[in-house]
Amino acid sequence: MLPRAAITAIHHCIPTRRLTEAELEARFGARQVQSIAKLSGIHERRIVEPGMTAADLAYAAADRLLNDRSIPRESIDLLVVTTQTGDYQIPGTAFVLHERLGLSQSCAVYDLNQGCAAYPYALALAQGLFATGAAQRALILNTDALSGIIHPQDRTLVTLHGDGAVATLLEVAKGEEGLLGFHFGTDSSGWRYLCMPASGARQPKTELTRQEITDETGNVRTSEHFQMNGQAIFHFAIHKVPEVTRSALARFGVTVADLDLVVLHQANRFMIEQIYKKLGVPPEKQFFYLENVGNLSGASAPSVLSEAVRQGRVKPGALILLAAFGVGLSWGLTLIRIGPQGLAPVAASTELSSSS
Amino acid sequence: MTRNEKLLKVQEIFRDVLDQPDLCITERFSTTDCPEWDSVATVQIVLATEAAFDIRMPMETVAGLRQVSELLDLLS
Repeated sequence: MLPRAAITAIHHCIPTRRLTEAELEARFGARQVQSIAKLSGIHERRIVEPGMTAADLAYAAADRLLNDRSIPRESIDLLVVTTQTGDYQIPGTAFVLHERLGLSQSCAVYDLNQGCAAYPYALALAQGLFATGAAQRALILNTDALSGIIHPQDRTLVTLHGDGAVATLLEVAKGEEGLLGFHFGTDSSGWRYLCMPASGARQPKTELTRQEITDETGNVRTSEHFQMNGQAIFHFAIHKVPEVTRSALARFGVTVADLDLVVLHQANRFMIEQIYKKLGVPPEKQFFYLENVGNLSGASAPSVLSEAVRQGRVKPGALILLAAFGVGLSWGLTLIRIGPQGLAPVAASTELSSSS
Repeated sequence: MTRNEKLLKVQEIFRDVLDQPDLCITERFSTTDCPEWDSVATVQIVLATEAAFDIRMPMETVAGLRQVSELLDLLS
């Protein structure tokens, strides 16, 4: 049997800066903000201060995890970083974090340009390298700070998104635990619905791309900002996610009854509730982590798992289905078995301030 | 069901979602006629219409939905 990766520690980090309902009501008007909050279930977001980046959040999460578990830095032989808001276009953020974390020269490094579906993709990449024997102890860092690429007057995005990072430690499974299966898919007909148009070679930045455009409902953005067609994305998620989750469960040979927890990307509460309802997931197998942090994009799904661990919702031997979906449009699902020892929370703060 | 009957059924959905019990819509009723018809409302209108007519709308139609006639075209 090929070596398999297992999650042995997980920790997340969010900025201390809170973007409150009151601030947004002053910016957009109470009616608009309340209307969105009613559907999204998000009442506060954590966003980075100027000067703090997604890589800083990822570094803090990883550094605290490695210290807590007394993991020698030279023993990490694989680093995977997923982000859409890296420190530089070149090089990838994984290289920057490799240096900051003091990892060894024998550590393989990958950057994965993925959005909200990043976590299962990163886990699958690591699993493949575990199976070949190329990796035995991996650090997966999912981090995004979309607040820096969203126009401050774009209420469809500002009201929903927060910034955050998650560090996951993978080690070789010793028993029945580990990453038991994966299921992926893509509907690229919708890639334009989550897009930052003037962000690469196809549309170079010019005076024109810096021009602000106000839509009929008052949202302001430029071509250099991240843009979302919320109604298309919502429609995609609410129909596609239950459909592909059923396919994944069939592929894995399990049912909702076999699962202890179903973790979903936290785009908005109404959407998650609808997906849970369509799949017949009972309340005791649901978990929400968005009300006071917002949609953390690529860090969202793993942050749910991390917070569930902190709240004691992940028992030893638990069977967990995790589904994430977003940019691409893409989806990824994974079936996770927790080891018999369980996952002890990392005894460190989940917050990072600009003075840290 | 005639197009007009469908319009009346859709009108009930708009009244409910936009919380305007006396709202009267025409095929030309659009987002520019009603500030409350934002992307959040569109999502609710689409889901309610799909449920009422037992259909699934194409994502590209949902993405560009701005006017009642676009909904009715899908229901014919």
